[in-house]
Amino acid sequence: MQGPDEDLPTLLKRNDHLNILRYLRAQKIRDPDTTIHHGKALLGPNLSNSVKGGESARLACLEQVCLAALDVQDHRLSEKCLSQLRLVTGKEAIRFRMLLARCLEAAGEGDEALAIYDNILTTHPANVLALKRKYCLAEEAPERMELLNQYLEQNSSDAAGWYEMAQLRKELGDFTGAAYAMEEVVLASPMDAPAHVELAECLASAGDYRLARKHMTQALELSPKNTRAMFGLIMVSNGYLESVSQLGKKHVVDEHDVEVAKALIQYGADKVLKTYKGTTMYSMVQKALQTYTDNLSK
Amino acid sequence: MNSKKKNVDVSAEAFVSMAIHAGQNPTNEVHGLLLGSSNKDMILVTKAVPVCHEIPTKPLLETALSLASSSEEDLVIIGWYTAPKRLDDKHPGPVPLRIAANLPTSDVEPVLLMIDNDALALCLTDENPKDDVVKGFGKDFGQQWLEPLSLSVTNEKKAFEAATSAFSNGIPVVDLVDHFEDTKRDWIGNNLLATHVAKIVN
Repeated sequence: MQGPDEDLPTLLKRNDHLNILRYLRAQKIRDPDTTIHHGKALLGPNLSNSVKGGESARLACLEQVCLAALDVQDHRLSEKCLSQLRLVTGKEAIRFRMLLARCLEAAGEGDEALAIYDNILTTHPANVLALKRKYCLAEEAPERMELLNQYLEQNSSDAAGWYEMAQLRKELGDFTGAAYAMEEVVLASPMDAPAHVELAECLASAGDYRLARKHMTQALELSPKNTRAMFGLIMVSNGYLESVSQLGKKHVVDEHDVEVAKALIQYGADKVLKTYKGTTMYSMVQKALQTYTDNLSK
Repeated sequence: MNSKKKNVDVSAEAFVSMAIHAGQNPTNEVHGLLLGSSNKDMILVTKAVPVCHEIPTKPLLETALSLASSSEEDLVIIGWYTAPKRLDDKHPGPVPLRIAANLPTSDVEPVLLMIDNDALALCLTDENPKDDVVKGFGKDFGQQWLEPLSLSVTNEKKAFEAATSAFSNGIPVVDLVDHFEDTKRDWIGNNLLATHVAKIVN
């Protein structure tokens, strides 16, 4: 959604209530106090004032103010917003029912809210918001997993959804599943160094040190001062060497790969020491890294 | 084999460190290392080293273990602590259980400490928690770290007071993940908090 051309400070200075609300919506800024203040000023004490931009603009503001009211637990205000919305859309409209369900959630009536979402999904199975809210209401991990899977089946390009799946899998200790989900996140944002670090860490936790190494190296290429990636590169490369050393004699070891791993450990260690040079942690870091660099000659 | 579980004594500083780490990350689970010592009957938790406010992965854990083992402290790794994400979670999740089971402690069975978020919320807002804020777990017959241990906090009243005071004054606890984002932030010492606790407890 495109917001107003001006920035927020300019709009606030001018007290341009409508465009302030539009700005907050477009930028997805969650600031309930500002929203309520300017919403009330725009819509009036009974929330019935008309708005430049017509009825659709007014309804958007009503929804926005309603959600902000829920954030600060002003249920009276949220009920007022709901009533105003209902006058225009009618009680059967999905727009009204979705907002009603949100209000029920805020009031602790989760079951009633769930019934509304289920009903909406019966006639509109692709309603993304209803699916997301059902996921938010779910408590037990298996149910959350199933709902998130349902959501991702219909919205496989939603990187935020895949990230949520990765976190859910990590919570359950399923790092293989988490790595699979993080791969989708990295596919969507290949230049995002923290995503590569997180994927590398999941892969290493699942035992795939070779692929973890690649992503950790990529993270450092994208963000050369990323300290977490520096240490991570040492750990995953060392993990690879340890896993190779435990292979039976029948396994053919790629010697070049082993040398690369050793070189990466040294590279990571050099970068870490350079980062901590002159700091109070230097001697501790140096001592810690010695365990890894001393083993390189073996 | 002697299967008698040892009692756990948590120092005031370790208690406050864990409490503030959990309190300043109310929407995330937190994890950290426990350093200390042990004798015939007791495990003494002297220091809590905060590691992360997210689910710990193997590389992050190995980095924390490596750095903590190399710190100047004359202490050894004796366990792991966690505070669950949800307010009503009363059991450690699968990840901290797995960590506790695989911690490289030398000759002591590692201890897993879990923060009760409900009780912590009351403690940090200077109300009297009905339940223990920190619970200790040891290895049970199923090789899981779910056997409750007897736990005490040294100078508990002063420790609670220090936690409440540190929380209301916004004294931060820096974990390893915070430190990676800004390496200038003091991690393993957390000296600001240590000084504050010493002032109240001593």
